[in-house]
Amino acid sequence: MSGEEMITLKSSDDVSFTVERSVAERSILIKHLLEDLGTSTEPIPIPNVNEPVLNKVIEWSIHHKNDPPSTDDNDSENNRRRTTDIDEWDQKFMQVDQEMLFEIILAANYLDIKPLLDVGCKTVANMIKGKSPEEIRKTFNIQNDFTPEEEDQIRRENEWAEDR
Amino acid sequence: MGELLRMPKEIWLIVTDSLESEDLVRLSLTCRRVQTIAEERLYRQCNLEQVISWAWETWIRNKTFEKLVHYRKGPGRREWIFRDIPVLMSAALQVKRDAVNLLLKNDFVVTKEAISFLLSQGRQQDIISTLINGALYGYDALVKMMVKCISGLESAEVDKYGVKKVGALDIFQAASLDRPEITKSISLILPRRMRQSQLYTALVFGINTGMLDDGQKVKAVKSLLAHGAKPVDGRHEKPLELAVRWGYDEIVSILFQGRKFNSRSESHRKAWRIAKRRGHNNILKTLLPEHRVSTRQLSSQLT
Repeated sequence: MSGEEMITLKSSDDVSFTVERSVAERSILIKHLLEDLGTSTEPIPIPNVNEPVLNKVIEWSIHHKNDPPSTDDNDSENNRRRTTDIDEWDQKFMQVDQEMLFEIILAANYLDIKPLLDVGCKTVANMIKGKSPEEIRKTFNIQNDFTPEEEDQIRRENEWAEDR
Repeated sequence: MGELLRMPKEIWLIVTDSLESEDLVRLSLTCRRVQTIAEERLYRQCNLEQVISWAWETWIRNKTFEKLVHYRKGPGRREWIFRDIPVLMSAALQVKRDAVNLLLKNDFVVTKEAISFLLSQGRQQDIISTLINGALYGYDALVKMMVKCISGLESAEVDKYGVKKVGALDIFQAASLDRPEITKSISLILPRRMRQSQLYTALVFGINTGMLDDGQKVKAVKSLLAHGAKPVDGRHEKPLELAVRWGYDEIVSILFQGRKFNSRSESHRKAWRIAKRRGHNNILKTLLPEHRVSTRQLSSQLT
């Protein structure tokens, strides 16, 4: 344990986690909060994230605590990610059930942890890639609300995208 | 119900960010809610020219095009429309009348910024060709828009871009359309220092070409002269000499208009010799309308 300041985070179900400030500050939301509060020994409530999810988020933040801060490329549509390459450790980290995966994504979005959000979204994208509509529906438990005629019409309208 | 469907839109946008068009199409087929999100990304990331070409080769074009316009014209999408302008012109270049009409109907307007953008990309040729096609195929609204935008350009800005690629024959053809506003627009997209030489080259190539009939050539010569082309400049065979060579009486008369035969001018002498050698008597009369010097005398002086 280094001499770094420790921060306590409290999940929505009242479970406390004490972590190094640099770990907590992977979250831009918490970073700004700490900057506003100055030094605080009070636990910081994270109302939208429950214990198992906060635990995963902290696990990720500890592993990535020394990563350079993500560049704020403002995610413009000109500057699209397009790659679904995911670091090996992150791939293993994301081997969770779908409910947990989406909870991590929502937590990363709420806590403003862009790299974690990216990894989560890329994981979902990888689950979609190369699959047929029926396979995607099955993977994500989506109910098909199109008639066969509508489906055929949509397919024809968007045919240009496959006709390259 | 799958959790994926409960994701907020901003998350969806990041997920779809990583997907290629083929995957987005398949995703759009899963259910109605996902369709909207996947198609929004699909049509915003698409290569507009590709979609237009495709849509107009098939018979479902209107529906595809409606989607294209719908997804690319949402609130705050002005910059997209701006980038789409060259595509509007490209559709005109490819003589895709329905595409042009539909784009215009949906407020895909040409802007001064778009014309500047094309100039900065060295696409003067595209501007000229679009004006030609616009005039030939009756895209009046498009031509009007372009002419208005071009007339609003700052000369300094045009000078800055220079001329990357301009077809002299295209300029001549555009001038032959008998639409002074088009010739004027072309002269305005040429940097001032190069304007004369470009118009001159157009004159030279145009008179020589077999692609246009005599009537069109006459119109083009008149129009180019009216916009500053000089008929007797240049180092090589001059427009006047070329017109004489090919026996274009009317063009010679236009090029020579207001001038007196100058026996010291190499170009005039050469033109006269060509006319004489080829037996173009009408042209000889044009060159020497007052017959102050007999042809015989002149012949002995000049040959």
